[in-house]
Order: sequence, then structure tokens, then C-alpha cells
Amino acid sequence: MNPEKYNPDISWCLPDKKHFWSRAGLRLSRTSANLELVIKANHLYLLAIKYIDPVIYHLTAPAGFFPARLIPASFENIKSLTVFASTLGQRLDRLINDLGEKNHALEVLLLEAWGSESLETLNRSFDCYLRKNFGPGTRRFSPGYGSVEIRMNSFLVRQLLRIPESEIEVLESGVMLPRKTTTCLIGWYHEQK
Amino acid sequence: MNRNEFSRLLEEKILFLDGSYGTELIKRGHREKLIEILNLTAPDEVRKLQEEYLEAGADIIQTNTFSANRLKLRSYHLEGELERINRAAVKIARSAGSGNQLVFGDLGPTGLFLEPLGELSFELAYQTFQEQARTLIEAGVDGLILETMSDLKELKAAVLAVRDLNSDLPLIAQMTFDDKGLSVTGTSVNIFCSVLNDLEVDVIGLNCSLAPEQMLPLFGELSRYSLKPLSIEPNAGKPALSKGQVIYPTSPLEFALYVKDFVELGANIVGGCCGIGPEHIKAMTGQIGRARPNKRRVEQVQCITSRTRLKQTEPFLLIGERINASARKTLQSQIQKENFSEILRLARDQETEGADAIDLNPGIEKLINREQVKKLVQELDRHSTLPISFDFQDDSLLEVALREYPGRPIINSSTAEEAHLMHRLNLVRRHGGILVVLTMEKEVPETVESRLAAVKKAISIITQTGLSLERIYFDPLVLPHGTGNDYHITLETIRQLNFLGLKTIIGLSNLSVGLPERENLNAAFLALCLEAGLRAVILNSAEQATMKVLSGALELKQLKRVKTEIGQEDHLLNLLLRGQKNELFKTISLQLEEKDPLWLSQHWLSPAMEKIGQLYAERKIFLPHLILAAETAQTAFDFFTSLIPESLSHKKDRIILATVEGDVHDIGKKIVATILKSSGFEVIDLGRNVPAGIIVSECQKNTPDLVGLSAMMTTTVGRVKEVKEALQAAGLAIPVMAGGASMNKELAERFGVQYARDAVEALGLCKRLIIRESKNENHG
Repeated sequence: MNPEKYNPDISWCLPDKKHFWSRAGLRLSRTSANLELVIKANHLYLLAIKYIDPVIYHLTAPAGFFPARLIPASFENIKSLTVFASTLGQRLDRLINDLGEKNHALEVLLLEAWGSESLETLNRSFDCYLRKNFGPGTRRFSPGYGSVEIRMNSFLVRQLLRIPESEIEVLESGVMLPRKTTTCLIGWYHEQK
Repeated sequence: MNRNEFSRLLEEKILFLDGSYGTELIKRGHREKLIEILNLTAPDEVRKLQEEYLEAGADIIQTNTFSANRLKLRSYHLEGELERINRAAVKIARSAGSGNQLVFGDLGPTGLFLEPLGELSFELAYQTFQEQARTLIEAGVDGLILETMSDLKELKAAVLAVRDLNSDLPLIAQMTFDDKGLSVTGTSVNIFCSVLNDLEVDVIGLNCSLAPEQMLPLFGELSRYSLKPLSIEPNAGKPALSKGQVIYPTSPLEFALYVKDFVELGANIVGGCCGIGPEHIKAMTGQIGRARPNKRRVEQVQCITSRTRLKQTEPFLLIGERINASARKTLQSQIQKENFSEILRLARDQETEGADAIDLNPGIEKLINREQVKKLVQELDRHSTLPISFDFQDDSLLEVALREYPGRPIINSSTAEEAHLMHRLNLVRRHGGILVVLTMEKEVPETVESRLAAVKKAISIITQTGLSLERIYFDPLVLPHGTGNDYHITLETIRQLNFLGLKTIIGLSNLSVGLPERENLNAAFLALCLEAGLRAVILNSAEQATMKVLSGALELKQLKRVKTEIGQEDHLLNLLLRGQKNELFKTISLQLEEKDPLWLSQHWLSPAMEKIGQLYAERKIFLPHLILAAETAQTAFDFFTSLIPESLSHKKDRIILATVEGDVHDIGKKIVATILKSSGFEVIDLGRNVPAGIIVSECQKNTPDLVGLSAMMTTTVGRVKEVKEALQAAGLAIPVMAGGASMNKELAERFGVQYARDAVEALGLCKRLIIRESKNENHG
């Protein structure tokens, strides 16, 4: 069972603007009066795209291949499981850090929001791609919620997906670096070839 | 398709327009000087482009006829091909794709300036547009689009030309502006909007010249004031030359991002102009999808305008009366000789004296001709005078004046007699503007009741035409006091009309005709009228007593005629919330002439930031506004600090911030730092993933007044307790506050720290905790 690395097209990572704004704590309609802010957010949207290097590491195997503590309680009756780690890469982190150092808090806030929505968009794109191939499955699930501990990230990233530390670092707390990184699980109800 | 069907379609969904023709066909290697000739020489190329637009999702495609009017074709020696080029264009557009698309005939400007700015007469412009429009309509378009107009008068000529041909064809009218929101001929977006709101067009919009980003603020203005559905077609940025090719910098994604904003602001039709190709349209349709247009809250502001000047009619309108050739024979003869110098002087004087508009009474109209009226209006237009109130008796001369006038005028006046009123109403509907209706039919009624009866009759006629009563002023008739007329009738009529919510206007000077000390009488009567609810007056603005009484009476009634100035504090809030540092520093320079920097810092800027904090707490602004304001204020605080002598500046309260070990989230902490700094605190930010030991040693080194910790994760929130305990173990009795997604009030209490939900709460907490600590120290 070898994990695979996939480099998705940037179009997989472009967040819906409404979601991006919402994540930043804004509502487009109520902010229309402040068009300078709208323009700033658009600039940052376009800037952020230049700073991401999206990658997905993924592995699909029969459910029995995975330790029971990794499989959420809600995944009963699944036949197989896909685990994947997605990241936008380190350059966006560095950009946000640099701006933070210069006390550009607004830019940081908006880029953070953009990054989170972009990562979610990437996950959703990959999720759709998987479902097309694997048929009916569970909802996408990330460690840190429900019955699966966030510290499982270390096992997922290092042992299952075998991602080098230079690409994704996992802290003792389960937090990952680059910061725009997630791990996800989806269970499948049919056997996979 | 008729106007009703189009209107329904506009309510149902956002319509997608296509992109450019000229730049796109040139990009594809066509080097013809007039791209419209391709309709005859390479129709398949035009069709191919239109099919690409349709495949990209366009609902409406335009005919390739932007320059196919007689005046432009003449300059390419193609005048004789006008009909063929336009007809072929419609045929090509119809044959593209499945054929279900809407086809709109495209009409661009003539390329010449109209009088008085250029040589082209209104009539020739009108005929030119009408000729092209007729050809396109006969060839079977679903509607017409007038675009890239930079002269409001030319656009008006085009609208009238189309409407005189066909009153039921969908019509879109678009102008082009620079990034300051002005057309080449000096018309602002608001003036364009106020004039076009009245004209018989179905959609108004902006196109060309500007990139989407530059167009956004202008579209925002249009969105606030337009009573019509809206369209928008930005350029793909400013063109640049690269390897001999013209390149437009705006990418499809960037274009689509901004289109989303235009849609948010209420756009009904979205498309692109120069540099926008099928890829852009595809990105746009992908981003927007099938959606209904957003409902807009339109600010209904009544105003009158010239081409370049806009005056709101509320709360009170003052019209200067002195260009009155009936009362001054010399003016009459000067108009006949087309010598307008005295009239222009009077226009300027009245403006200086404080008039909002000028009344134009050409005197005995039998003595003047159409050409003289045209020249008179053109001359006033050329000198950018105030908006005009046309005090004309003769309908045909009035119409000549209105055709020449590129603004929203007052038509002064009509009686309530049906035929007269209907005729004047038709002029208002055709040319736009505001109408004054006299409270009389053929004879002047002697009682209040009979004047109100005339009003009642007029209202029933006006409402049948669909014209809003907001566009009507009623004149309760001021009659000469010297001939025994009872002024109380006028006053009571004003009072009753005001009670009914109707607006009134008077010609003040009639009161004192033939009497001595006219100014005294006029002033006194005006005060009485204002108390009765008068909303506009035509007067002699050179009468100082009258003007002073007007000013005083309006102030007493809290109806200051001058535009309400934005309060200093509100102005400051606006600058901060919009991040306008340059403007802020200009304001600071002015403030520093009167106040010292310490006072400004403590009593001017700080309260403004507190107000902003309140607005945020009340959810009237959002986090990004708060941060932008804080960052902007910070630069001002730093500037003030640099000006305050060391001896006067007090030591800043110091706060150490850190994200606890194992946690790398620090956006919330950064925001807190920004807000604290903008409120005068010194902040030392230790960064993310900071072990308790380092926080302790930094506290020992820097002796902060407070420590703020951030913890986002459930797995790291326990570190807050560790830090608190480590500080205590080191003998440091520093208050600690904590925040973050995983922190809450109960948890904070258990850890022995204070909880701050957000940056504004953190600021309040810092102020409370530090002040309490310093009080304790003082007591100790």
C-alpha cells in the first residue's frame, strides 16, 4: 500500500469569494460601502494565488489496513478508507509571517482567511474527485474532531503517508506546519479495486 | 422583445454580456483600420468570436457596429456602406450559436464633440444616431446599447433619437469616466445618473476606460443613486505594449473577482469592454452562475444639474431671479444680438451670492428665435454655470432650450389647465427634470380653496402620467401687495400644501412690485413663508436682508441650506475606517495649527478610536475595518509621539503577547497587538509556539504591565495555565489575559487568568487591569 503524491491545478484551490469574506468576518453586502476594503481583499486574493504550492498525499486501502483508533465511530460499515494530507505549502506561511512582522494585521487576517478557504476548496475538489471514482462514502472527516484525536496527525503524516518532515512538520500538539495543512479521512462503502 | 419583457428578464436573472470586438479581432491578426468592415469582408471571423462568447456563457451579444455611424464611416470613406455594414452585423450575430441569444445593436459615439465644446450640432448628432439605430432595428435587433459616451449631451441626443424611432425597444445607455469619476466633458457619475434616471432608457451603466478595480467606486455611486437597472463593462486594465503587441493586464480571474463585486452592488448586466475576451467571459459566468440580481437600496435624492454642476434640492432650493429679460430690456436686446456677456456676469454673480440655480427668462419670446435660444443655452453650458430653471412661455422655444441643455433642469412653469400641463409634463418626461406647477388654471384663484382645487386637479393629471410628485413644485402664487392682494392666501396655501406633503416654490419679488423698501418686505414675507413650510424660492440674491433672513430662518428650522458638513469627528472616523492616511495627515496638519500634539493624541484621535471600537462591538463595522482603522490611527499616534517633547510624554503601558507552546496560530494575537498599539500601549510580541520559560524570562527582562496569551487548540490551551504558574513561581505578579478559539471565560477563571473574547474586549481589559494595578501601586 503505497501513498501517492498529487500536484493539483491551482483552479482546485480558488475559494468562493463569499466564503473567503465570511471567513474573514465580513459580509460582502454590508461592506459594499467600503469599496477600498473590497479592492484590498481582491488584491490579496490575487496575490495569495502566487504564493501557494498545493500538494496532496493520499492513500486508499481496505478498512482493515488502518488501526481502529484512526477510524471515526461514524464510519461504521465502510469497506475501505482514503486518508490524505493536503497543504498549500510554506511560501504562503512565509508571506503571512513577513506581513505579520511588519504589523500588517489586516493583510494577515485576510490572507489567513483566504488560505483557510483555499485549503477547504482544495479538499472539497479532491473529495469530489475521489467520490467520482470510489462511489458512495462517508462525510469527510479530520482528526481533532469527534473520536479521533488531533495527535493522530503524526501517525497519519509520518507512517501512513510517509511525508518527509521537510514538507510537513507535525508538532507534539498535533498542529502541522505549514499552517495551511490538513489531514482528512473518507470511508467508502464499496470495495475498491 | 419589448421593454416590459426585458424588464422582467432583468428581474429574473443577471444577464451576461459579451466582451470586446475591436481589441479581440485585432489580437487575432486583423489589421483593418475599421474593424466593422469585417462584417462584409470576413463575417465568419466575427461570427466565430461571437460563438466563443456564447460558448463562454454570454446571454447578450452585441453587433459589431460600434463605429458604424455615418460620421465615423465618412472618415474612413465608407459612408456608402453604412446600411450594408449594420445589416450584415445583425445577420452575423443572429446566425451565431443556436440563435437563441439576445442581439443588441451597438452604437458608439460619433467621435466628434457637440456644440458648444465642438462643432457638431445636436441635430446632426441626433440624425446620425437615428440613422444607424433605424438600420439596426429594421435588421432585427432585440435592443440597442449606447456605449462609451463621454459627452452627456451626445448621449442625450442618442437616447432621443432612438426613442423617437421606437418607444418600446429595450435600450441600454452607458457612459465612460476617468478614475476620478468624471467624463472627458466634466460630467460626474452622479450627474449622469440623475439625468439618465429621468430619460426613457431601461438600463444605465459604465463601460470602457477603466480597469474593474478603478470602476468599482464609480459603480458604487451609480448603485446608490440609480433608479434604473445597472450594467457594467470594464476594460481589462490599462493596455501596454509587449513585443509589438497590445497587452491588457487584467486576467480572467481578476476580472471575474471584480464582477462578483459589481453583482454584489446590484449589477443586472455584466460584461467587458476593451481587452476582455472569451476567456474572461467564461471566468465571469463560472464565478457568477445563474443568479438573480441583488436588490439595491437606492437613495432617492432630488437634485438639479448642469453638465458639470449638481445641486441637491433638499432641504431648500434657492434660485436666482436676475436673468429676467422681461424685467430688463437691455437683456432682451442682448439676447437678440447674441451678446451674452451680461447674462454670464449675472449667472456668476448669483452663484457668488449663494444661489443654487439660475432662473432664465428670455423676455418677450416673440422677439427671439430658436437659434438665439440655442446659442444662449450653449453659452451658459460652455461657462459651466449653475443648473438652470427655464422660465419660458413658448413651448417650441422651451423645447429648443431643453434639447440643448445637458443636465437636469427645472421647467418653470405650467398651469393646472389640462392641455398646458400635459404638454409640459411630456417635456419633463422626454427631457427629464423638475416641473413647477402654478396653483391656477386660466385665471388666478382668489381663495385658498380654489388654489388647492387647482392643485388637486393637477395631481390627478400628473399621477396618470406616472411622474413622481417628488419632481413637482407647486407655486402658491405671490401677488403684488401694493395692489391690495392678501398675502395670507399665499401663506395659507403653502401651509396646506406642506401639510399634504407637497413641495412649494414662490417667486418672492412679485410681492413688492411697485413698493418702496422692497427688500424689507421681501425678507419679512420670506420668513413667514418658511415658517409655513416653503421649500424653494426664486429671489434676488443680491438683496442682503433677504439672504440674511433666509439664512437665519433656515438655521432656526434646522434646515441649513448649505450642505451639512461632516462633523470633524465623523470626518476623522471616515478617514480612519477607510485607511486614508494621506487625507488623515492633511487633516492633522490643519489641526496642529490650533492644537498641540498631546491634546490631539489624547482628546481627538483616542476618542475616535474608542468610537470605532464601539462600532465594532455593535457589529456596525467588521474586523477588517477595525484593523484598517487601527493601523491608520497608529501612524498618526506615532507622528504625534514624535512631536511630543520627552518631558511631556508619559511612559507607555507595556504588554507582552505570545502564542503558547505547540500552537502556531497567531492572527488573533496580531489583531490584539494592532488594536492595543493604536490605543497607545507598547506591545512586545514574542511570536508563536513560545515556551513558558521564554515568556517568564522576557517578563523579567521587560517588566510588562500585562501578559496576553493566545491558544487556539484544545491540545494547547493547557499551556496558558503553565505560563501563569511559571510566572507565579518566578515571583512575577503580572496580570495575564488569554484568548483564542479554545479559551473561554470558565476555563480562564480556572487558570487564574482573565478572558478576552476579541480584540476590543482585550483592549478594555488591558485598560481596566492596568489602571487597577497602577491604583493598587499608588495605594501601596
